[in-house]
Amino acid sequence: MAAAIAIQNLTKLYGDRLGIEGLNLRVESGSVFGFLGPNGSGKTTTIRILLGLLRPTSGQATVQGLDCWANSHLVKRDVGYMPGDFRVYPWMTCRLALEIFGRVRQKDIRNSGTELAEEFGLESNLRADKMSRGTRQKLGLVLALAHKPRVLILDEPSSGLDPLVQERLYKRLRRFAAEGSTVFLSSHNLSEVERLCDRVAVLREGTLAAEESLSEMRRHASRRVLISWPAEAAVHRIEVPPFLADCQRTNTSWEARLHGSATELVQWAANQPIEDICVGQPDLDDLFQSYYDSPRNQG
Amino acid sequence: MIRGLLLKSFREVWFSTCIFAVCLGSIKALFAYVLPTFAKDFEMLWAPTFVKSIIGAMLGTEIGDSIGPFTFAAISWVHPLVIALVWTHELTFCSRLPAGEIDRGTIDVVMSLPVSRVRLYVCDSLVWLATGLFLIAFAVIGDLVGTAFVADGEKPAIHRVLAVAANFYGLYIGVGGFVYFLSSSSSSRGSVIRAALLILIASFLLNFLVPFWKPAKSFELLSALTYYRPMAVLNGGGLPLWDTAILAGGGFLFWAAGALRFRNRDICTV
Repeated sequence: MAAAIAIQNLTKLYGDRLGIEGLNLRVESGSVFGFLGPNGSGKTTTIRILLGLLRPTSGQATVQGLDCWANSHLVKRDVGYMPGDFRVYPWMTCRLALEIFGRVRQKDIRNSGTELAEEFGLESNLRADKMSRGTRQKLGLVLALAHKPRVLILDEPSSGLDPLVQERLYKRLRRFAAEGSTVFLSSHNLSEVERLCDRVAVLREGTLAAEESLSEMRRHASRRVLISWPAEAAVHRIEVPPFLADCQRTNTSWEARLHGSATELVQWAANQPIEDICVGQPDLDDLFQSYYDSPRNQG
Repeated sequence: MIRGLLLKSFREVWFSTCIFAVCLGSIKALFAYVLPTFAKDFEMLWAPTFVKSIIGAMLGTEIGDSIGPFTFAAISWVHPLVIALVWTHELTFCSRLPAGEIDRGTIDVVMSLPVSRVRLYVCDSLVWLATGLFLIAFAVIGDLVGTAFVADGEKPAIHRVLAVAANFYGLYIGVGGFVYFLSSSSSSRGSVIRAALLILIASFLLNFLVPFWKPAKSFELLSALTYYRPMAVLNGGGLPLWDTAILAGGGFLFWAAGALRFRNRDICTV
């Protein structure tokens, strides 16, 4: 079965400037795929290639087995897209947009669109030039979802949305994926990615820094460890083990990051005069930060 | 599918097109009524040569001593206000896709639709051609309304007015096709309008200078207005097929080059 999205050796150069280089990705149908990276890392370039807005310098991108450049108009029959900053004509209302977009798509999307608009709390007859940024984003989501696409490409979908609508969007996206459709989601919001995504790719300076499932990422993400020592313990004599990094020491406590397995920590702790030990959740923020940092910055 | 795209383009431009059409029709009606009256007084005067030269320059032709009843009717078709109204409409209309859409960020929405770029371009152009017909129809109606109050011998026959209108539509296609081409090559509507305006003003100036300044004569063929000759048509010529074909053909070539450019270019909004 063809992957919902397949990217092979994709490179895009803007003159001398690198957009992305040698990118390889495969997004399976029915999954929610997170696409992360700092500004300028190539996320939007990749998305624009998928939508046929940019022609790859080399390599290929396909959606549902169709080449994104050569068959762009066919690809978009089954794709819903919402850009990061959704802009629409000032005269457009949700009702009018559903009518026009439905005619272009040769599908009556008025009912499904109206239902979505109600769900997101969007007024049908409000003109776009009277909409706030968040309300425009809602319209963008309605137009991206109303034709029930097989692949949904969202660039920062929750930016500008209030928490209530964000929650409704997440629910809708989970249902969407459960029905077998695919969500390709670019985001800076890590909690959004953690809640929604099955798999994540991280881009850095136009190349793939990591691509794995979220559970794998959690496994090798560091955890915060807080160790309390009894007052009479000679803490200063105890050596910090190598799997605890960035250790902040006081006379009665250590706060550090655990790199490595919890087993190692437990074995080591069993032989120490510890009063209390607290191990936090895997810190994905920290992990992503390490991916985001360019090799130049890491030195 | 096409109806949806036509509806989108129509919704975008109908209001401004109506305003342009009403202004054009009103100005044409006023000129058609006032200018023949002025012509009667003018014939009674001994017209100084420089006045004749200026009228000739405006009409883009040497009129010599033959200021006839239709000379002033022709002026109403080449008056800078009339030309400026139609060209302004074209500059605003034809610079929308893709440059204007990229500029305001709406291109992403349009291009998320399952439509090829060429189809998008063609549909937008169909609305441009239709609005051109609408505008020129208003100019003709204005002309007819204005001349309704003019004596029969002083107003041109309707078939000649229609022949001028056809020639004017050729000019409309020529200019619009060129602006579409510029728009397809740019991501900034402001740049497109500036470049097109510069070239149109140069074209207008060249046409104006030809009767006064010999060196300008060598470049006359480069001016779009060289092929727009209401004076010759109203004074007895038939439909200027060749001139109209040059204007429309040139416009079509630019338009087609624009379609190719749009089909193959990258669309960047950041």
